[in-house]
Amino acid sequence: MRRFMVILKMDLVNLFKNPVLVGYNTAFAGLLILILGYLCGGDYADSNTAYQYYTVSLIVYGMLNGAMTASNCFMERDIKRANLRIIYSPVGSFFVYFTKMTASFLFNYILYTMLLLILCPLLHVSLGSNPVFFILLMAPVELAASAFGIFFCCVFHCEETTSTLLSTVINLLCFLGGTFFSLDGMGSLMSLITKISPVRWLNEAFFTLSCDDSLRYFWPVFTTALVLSALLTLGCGFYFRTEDYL
Amino acid sequence: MDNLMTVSNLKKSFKENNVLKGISFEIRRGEVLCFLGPNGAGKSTTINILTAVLGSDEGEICFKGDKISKKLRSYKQSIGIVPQDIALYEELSAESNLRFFASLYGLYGSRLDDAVEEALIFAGLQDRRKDKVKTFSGGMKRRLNIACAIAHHPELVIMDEPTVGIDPQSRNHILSSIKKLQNQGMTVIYTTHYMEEVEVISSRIIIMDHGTILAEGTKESLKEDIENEKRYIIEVEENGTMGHDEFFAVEGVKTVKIDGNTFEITSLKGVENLDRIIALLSDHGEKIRNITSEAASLETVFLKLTGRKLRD
Amino acid sequence: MRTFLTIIKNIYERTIPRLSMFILLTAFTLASMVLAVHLTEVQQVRGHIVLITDKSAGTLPYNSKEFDIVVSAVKPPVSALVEKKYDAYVTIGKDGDYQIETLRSDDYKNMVDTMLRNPDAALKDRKNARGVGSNMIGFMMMFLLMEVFANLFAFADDKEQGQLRRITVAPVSFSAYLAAHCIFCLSMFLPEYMLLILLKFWGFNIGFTLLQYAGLIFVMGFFGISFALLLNTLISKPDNASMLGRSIIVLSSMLAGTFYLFSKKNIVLDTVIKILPQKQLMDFVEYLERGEAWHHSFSIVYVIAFSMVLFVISCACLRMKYIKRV
Repeated sequence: MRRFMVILKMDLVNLFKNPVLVGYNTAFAGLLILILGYLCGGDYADSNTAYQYYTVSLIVYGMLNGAMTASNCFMERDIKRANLRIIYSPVGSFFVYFTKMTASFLFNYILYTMLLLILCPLLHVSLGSNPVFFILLMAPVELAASAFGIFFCCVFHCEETTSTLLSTVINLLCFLGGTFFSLDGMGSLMSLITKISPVRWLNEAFFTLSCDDSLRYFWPVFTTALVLSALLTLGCGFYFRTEDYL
Repeated sequence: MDNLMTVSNLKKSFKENNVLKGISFEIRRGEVLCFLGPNGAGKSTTINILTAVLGSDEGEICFKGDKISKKLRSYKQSIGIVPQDIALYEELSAESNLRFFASLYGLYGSRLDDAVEEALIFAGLQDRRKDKVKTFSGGMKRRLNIACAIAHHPELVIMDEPTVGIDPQSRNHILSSIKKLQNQGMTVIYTTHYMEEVEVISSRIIIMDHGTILAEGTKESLKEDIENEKRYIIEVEENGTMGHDEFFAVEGVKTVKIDGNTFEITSLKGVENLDRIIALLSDHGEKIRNITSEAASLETVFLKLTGRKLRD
Repeated sequence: MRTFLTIIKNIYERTIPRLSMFILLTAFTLASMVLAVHLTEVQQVRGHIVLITDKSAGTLPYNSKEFDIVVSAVKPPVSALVEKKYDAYVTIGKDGDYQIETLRSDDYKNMVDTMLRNPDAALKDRKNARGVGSNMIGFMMMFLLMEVFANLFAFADDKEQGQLRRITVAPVSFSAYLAAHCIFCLSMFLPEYMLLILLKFWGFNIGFTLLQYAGLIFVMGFFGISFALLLNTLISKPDNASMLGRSIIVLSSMLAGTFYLFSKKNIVLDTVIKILPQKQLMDFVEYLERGEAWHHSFSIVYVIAFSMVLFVISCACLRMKYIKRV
């Protein structure tokens, strides 16, 4: 356990010391919310509704982009050489990828929670009558995103490929899930396609929590995300090869 | 010396490339075992398998009598690795790097502090402990790279070409540090393609090429096994009338080369004929100024075994 | 010429191990193009209304082409209005009047009320819907620009791993080296162009001629390459450059309205958006579709000039770092 904590602490330090990663998960996300919320304010009677929409949907977008943070933390070129020593040490290969997963999960979760705490009072965005549920639901989603990034690093054996592909996949799924604008008015085919995107259901869960105070999707999303994280972690065990660090 | 580690019939292929073709060797406690071979010989692959990063296709590795596959964790606890690439966090200080890597081996508290201090002294970096690694010279990084591997006092240290690209002063520092480690009872596996380093530090040498072990032994025994001749270089004050033929009358003499006042005579090993050669020269009135006896060098050994120079 | 051929051959060889990644990236761009064609064909309604009543739909005298009306006995949650799944909930009062619940503006509420009372009423004209060509370019743009970062991998690797230093020390033309990277990046857009050819061949309306598309893709590519080159030149780690670049592209493409036209009458924001090359390119494309391109050629000239400025700055930085030494 001590060794796990030592490696986790080092991974967190490496993440927080990367200005691009910190900026991407705070400034970029915040800017996107502010700008898109402002631009769409005219569509609503009360412009705060636009901020409500974009805060929730773009927080989900940001959490999913945590997969890129995870892959960067795991196999980025400069970090890889130093991380090789961790493989040599008697910590076991499970710790190698699990600490990265945990570190990137904590990194993203802390930053997005802080972002919410700043933006919500500023933009009068509601997270529901009990915001604890909203913030609680973010945890397994963020963990699943981190696990996703690490898993694909193990599969592709290369951080660059993983980041490039994941970035495109996530943008596409978010676009289809209605993150940037609703696609429901674009025909029955589009309506069907949006339902296939898992982002659609994530948005649904967070919107019902924040706008309807309903826990209808809370437990299904919570358990699905946890189960997915567990499965992806198991998958890492199958696909991770220590040779990838050579 | 007892065997610390035994490697039996190690085989490894990458796709169609047979990198290791069934190598077997022992590592004796307290020795410095040098792997010598050109690029592509299979040294790094052997090291990667010994460090349990790469799996082998066939073969067995035992450490202190136990298969490493069965007791992997305790095996890893007992070894330290100096990789060929600098494996350090450049944004962190020397001390932070040492503290982190040593704590992976279970050190904490005052034991960790002591280990870090010893490692800094070993590397000669006490004055630079708080400085970031990215500000270090290449030699300093290499020394820290080694220090991170030995901070937890392993029984076996595996070094994969630890002196690549550094100045002679740093290299000498590293080589003398290896000697110190040996004196402290550590066993060292050292891979290199610098003959000079092997001459200085090795207890035993394994010469590899194309995935097989060509020869194994101390430097003296390797030279003796390969070279069945000895060479005498005799310098006289002034060469009179001596020709080649007189020397061939002496038992064991194989070749004679006369270059002005210098006689280069090769003779079979095992035939003690120097006194008869000297007597022959004296009988002909030659006044001997200097006699040198030359044995084979490791370079010659390597050339004979592989058909090429080490750094071809 | 020799330098150019040597470098471009080297880049293509280095592409082979990454082929699967490039195929996937291209597939996403192609998918977005197909989506663009489909969305243009679909008649877009002005709104989705939920009529909350226990009467069945067949008994209600509504038939509007402008709105999609769903009849439901249960009122959907407020979150559906926020998410714009529905635009308004309508209940019929005891005296037959309509009670409209919406988060949209008062104008919208009045429009719904008018439509409910008179389904055949002529409603205010909406702003011109985008044609298929504009949609195609808009949908492609973000993915194409993101793809450039992947396509410029060879330059990024050369810079990070030190090969660039070797190349600049050698007696070769640096311009030829850069040209090889640019041509490689442009050549990676061939699958997208081939799809346009196929769509045209199969009889789909693609909005513009193939020559016009070639020009537009070239301009988009040039902008993407200049931007990616600049970021890779200024930022030492290619991963950071790529992450930053992709973030900027997503944000600026959204602002420029590549997928969906946002509008807000704010001079400052409008000015900022107008500076974006993507916005100018979208404007030019819309004018081109209406046959007014040459009267508004400033937009395309702006995009090309902007790209050239970025390109020149990159070249200057590279020369300073690698060719001229103090």
